[in-house]
Amino acid sequence: MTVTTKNDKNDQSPRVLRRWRHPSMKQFFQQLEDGTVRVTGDDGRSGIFHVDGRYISGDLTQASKHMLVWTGQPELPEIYNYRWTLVPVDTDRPSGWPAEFEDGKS
Amino acid sequence: MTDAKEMTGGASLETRSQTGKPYPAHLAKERPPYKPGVARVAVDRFFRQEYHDLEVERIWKKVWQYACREDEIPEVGDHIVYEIGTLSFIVVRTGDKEFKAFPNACLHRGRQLCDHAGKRAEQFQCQFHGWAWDIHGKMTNMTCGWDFPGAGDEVKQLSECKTGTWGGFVFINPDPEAEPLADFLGELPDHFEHAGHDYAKRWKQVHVTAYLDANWKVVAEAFLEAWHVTFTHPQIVRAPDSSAVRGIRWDDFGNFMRAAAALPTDQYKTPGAWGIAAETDQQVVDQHFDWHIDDPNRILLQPGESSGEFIMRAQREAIAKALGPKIDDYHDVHLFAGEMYNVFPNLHPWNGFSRLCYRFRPYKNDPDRSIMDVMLMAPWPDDKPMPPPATPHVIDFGEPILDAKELGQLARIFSQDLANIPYVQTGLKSSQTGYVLLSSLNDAPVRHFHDLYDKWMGFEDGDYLAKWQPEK
Repeated sequence: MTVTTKNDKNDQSPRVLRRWRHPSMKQFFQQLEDGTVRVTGDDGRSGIFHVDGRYISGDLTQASKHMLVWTGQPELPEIYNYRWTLVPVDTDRPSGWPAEFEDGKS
Repeated sequence: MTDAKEMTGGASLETRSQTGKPYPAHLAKERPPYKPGVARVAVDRFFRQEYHDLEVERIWKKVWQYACREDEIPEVGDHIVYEIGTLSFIVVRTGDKEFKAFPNACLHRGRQLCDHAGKRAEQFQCQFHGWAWDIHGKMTNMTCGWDFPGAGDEVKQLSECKTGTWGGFVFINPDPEAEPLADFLGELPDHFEHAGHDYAKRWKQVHVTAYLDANWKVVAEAFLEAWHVTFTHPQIVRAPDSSAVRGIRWDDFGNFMRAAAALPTDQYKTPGAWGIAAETDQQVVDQHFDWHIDDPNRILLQPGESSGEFIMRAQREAIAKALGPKIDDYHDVHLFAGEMYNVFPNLHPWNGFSRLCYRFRPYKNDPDRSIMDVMLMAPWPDDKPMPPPATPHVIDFGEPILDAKELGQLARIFSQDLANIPYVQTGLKSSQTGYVLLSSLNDAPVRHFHDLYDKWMGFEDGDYLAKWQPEK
């Protein structure tokens, strides 16, 4: 089945922001613009959930709480979206942080 | 069957290093499995006040514990207030490499001598009646001393805790009879320094202090083992193929335990049961950098390029920005995996370049609450002045860890851990069996922790179900 970020033309549901796929359950987790998460399984069933795991609507009534948290929590500002092993440093600056972290972009 | 591709996403740890360096000796040698078998630990210790009270007496007043970093108090007289449970200590620099620690209480009426960290103090003066002691603990002022006939000798010197340092950490031990810090740590310094990872040369770039609604042991256990990743962090369990799922080896060194990436020659590694074969190598890269399916920042692998090579190169380039050519001194295993160290009771520095360091503490007199410190220790060149260490970013009870955005993607991952931790604390109180069940291999570090806990608490060896009894 195909799960895209595009809503159907007549679809009034909230816009999809980001998508992940659960590696073992093979479900698609879609972050929606209204702060909820849509989960769609291989069998075509789907459900809408709060980020904390509570069911809201749809024929899929249970989903991984942790994948809901991962998908639905707010996005990090772009300059902070780094892996912890790769936190940027600038050895020529007294603060040790690259300039963009102190230029109001954070 | 797992092989040496584990943990590298396809690049062999043992035989294939981009730098051609030999595999680090401290990682190569496997230890026998830690006391094989299932264990049962009574749930009482996670929430009963009697355990909390006894921990203060038998652990926190007796054990070596990390109080601060040396560079947090760089000048003579600089000091911090270190709190653990109900206890408070002043830790002060008294010389170039000298530190002292005192119980934070006036010998007159018991008020805290020091309310917060400070700079270049010459003395610690009680703000109640003005009694004071210098930074060496010698009394400098006894207001209305004439009114305490015969009591002068008992207040002329503050009692001292033992102090010691390793890797830039300042440790204290309130017990005057305690063994030297070096004896307590055993081989630990060698594991870091011989591998070129002297923590004293690391810059504390990030420090987050989170106040959490769970016992400190519940929080610590959430980070002691690795196999919760399977279910709690499903977005990061993909491995390049079915033969390269992750395997981990747990090695016991007395007061600390180490998790290292398993080698093909190892007998006692975890069988890699929690890795999931990725459908494409690109998925492995995507999860490593937290790129979602439609991410505009996503970088696609080139034809013939493995996820392991891509990730290793990115890691190498990032560290080279700090270390320059010195990066060539390190084997690839340092770049990618990093080894987790659990130093009893509550310090968790990672080796390699993972940068992680944790500490877990009880919160005041409340066994249902605790404090978690997360630090990122960045590599820094020897020839440039190190920036001041990060001051703690406090995340108060109930506040989202995601507010600590300087943790980067780790903040998003911790959100998942914190979606478990308070619920563990609640669930333990409704336990049907009265105990938690710990596995032979994956839970070995948790069993190791509880064995040491029992030893310090004075419970019989191996008696996990021991109940604390009030002393008569």
